[in-house]
Amino acid sequence: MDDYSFEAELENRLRLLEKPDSEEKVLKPLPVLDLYIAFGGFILMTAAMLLWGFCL
Amino acid sequence: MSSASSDMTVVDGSDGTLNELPLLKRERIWGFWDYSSVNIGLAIATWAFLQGGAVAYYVGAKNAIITTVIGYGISALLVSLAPCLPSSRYGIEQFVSLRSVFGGNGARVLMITMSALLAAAWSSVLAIMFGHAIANVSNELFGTNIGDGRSVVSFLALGAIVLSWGILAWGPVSIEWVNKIVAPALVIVTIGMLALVFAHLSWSDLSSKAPLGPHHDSYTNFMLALELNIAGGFAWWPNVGNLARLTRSTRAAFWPNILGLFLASVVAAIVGAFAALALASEDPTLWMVPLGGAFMGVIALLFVGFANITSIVAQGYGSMIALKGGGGRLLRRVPWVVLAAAILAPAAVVVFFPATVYDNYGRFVSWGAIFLAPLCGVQITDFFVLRRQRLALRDLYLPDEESCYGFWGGYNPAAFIAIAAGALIYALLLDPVSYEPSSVFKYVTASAPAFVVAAALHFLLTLVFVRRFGKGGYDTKPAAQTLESPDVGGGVPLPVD
Repeated sequence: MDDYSFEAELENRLRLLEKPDSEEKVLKPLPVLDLYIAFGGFILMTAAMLLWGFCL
Repeated sequence: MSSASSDMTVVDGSDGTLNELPLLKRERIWGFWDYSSVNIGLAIATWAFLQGGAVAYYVGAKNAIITTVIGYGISALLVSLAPCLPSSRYGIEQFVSLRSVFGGNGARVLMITMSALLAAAWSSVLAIMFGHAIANVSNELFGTNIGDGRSVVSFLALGAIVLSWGILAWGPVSIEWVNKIVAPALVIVTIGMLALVFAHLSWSDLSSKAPLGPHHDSYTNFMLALELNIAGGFAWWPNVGNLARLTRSTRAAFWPNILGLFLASVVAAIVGAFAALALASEDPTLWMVPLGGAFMGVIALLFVGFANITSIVAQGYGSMIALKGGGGRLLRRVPWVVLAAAILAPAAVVVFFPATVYDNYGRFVSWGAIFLAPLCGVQITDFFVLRRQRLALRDLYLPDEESCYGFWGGYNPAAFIAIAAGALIYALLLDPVSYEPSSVFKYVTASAPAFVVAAALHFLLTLVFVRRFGKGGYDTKPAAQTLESPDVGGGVPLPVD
């Protein structure tokens, strides 16, 4: 892909992504709930591991 | 032309997955299970056995499980946030996303340095492992004694590099190979190793096995093993962003990492640690024959040896895509074959110094983490805290003098200072050359403080310095932002899927 084609394609894509009625969209952010679940799960798992390692 | 882009013409022959263009809907090819299978395939690679062997150096079986689960848990979770989510949300190449953190020139410097160094380092480790595997096969079948002859192993490793170059030059087939053939077979080898370990030893026997070369303080040993695993997880940073870019939702970019980078890596590394403890050897190529017998052992060893080739190709392919995508006009013009040779050339030299990397795997992983842990901290702070998951997509592609991410001459000194401070903290806590921990290390590890210090410093410097000068596009946020609100890319509203 030469520079001219690249720039043309880049501009095409940016215009598509910026156009409100286009089907092309950036994705929604990761829901905060997912972060809570991931970090909560990690904390629980770590606690369980440390309990097994040092208390049992 | 796809229906997704039917309202505008798309230039024929363009493929955003092979360059730095933001991806369109039709190019986002992976859902949750697709990305999970790729992720698991990459996680269960031969480096997981090396990781397990290194952990067994410091701790026994029970603590190997605990430190691997917690260590990989920390870093896999952080790496799943960045670079995965910026790349997935905007469909951008992962070093392009770094332009918002380091500036255009800064991101380019990072990309070239990291792609070159990490590709050379990992390729040489895997090539040397290939050399050891083939040498051990020869020893078993022909009664040779190659293991003691370092130069023979180095030349075999060089052969692996040349073979990898041939495959890379032929075309980007690597990831498909890994997933369709090598990964399932490595799963079988891993399960087989676990079964054979427990065929020889009970859990109580295994858990009573002493670590291979521990420090005098058992608590320090535990933390060194934990550090190894945190560092091992951070080593995924260069590989996963561009894979997550291909997913169809941010959830599909995030959760498969927990199955692959975390769960699959943990299982493979723990099996590696068990085998290392059972056979009192860190070197995975010395496990197969004692565990499986001459026939099965040689077959497994041959397979593990050649699995390293596919891992080198996968690693090299990732680096080449990064260089092609983020290297600007100059690298875009370099022929694929030449770029493949350039990527692998440093590894062809490093294989003649096996003690530098393969024999010191822990230090080698530490050299990566000294930079990757602060980098991850800076990127997470920038994307999630300072920018609330919003980037100005167009500005990522503008020249530095026009882009809100131009900072000062295309460099953001705040991010670089934060990275340097994090790396310094790491080096003060754990000497990356001698691998000697400081007295504080056993309370905090090295990667975790490096991550926290870099993240905090980047946050503070941005607020009191960068933002005050109106640089970096940090002031273009809408008045009310939540994580769920519609995206605003640096003042240009972008539709959200």
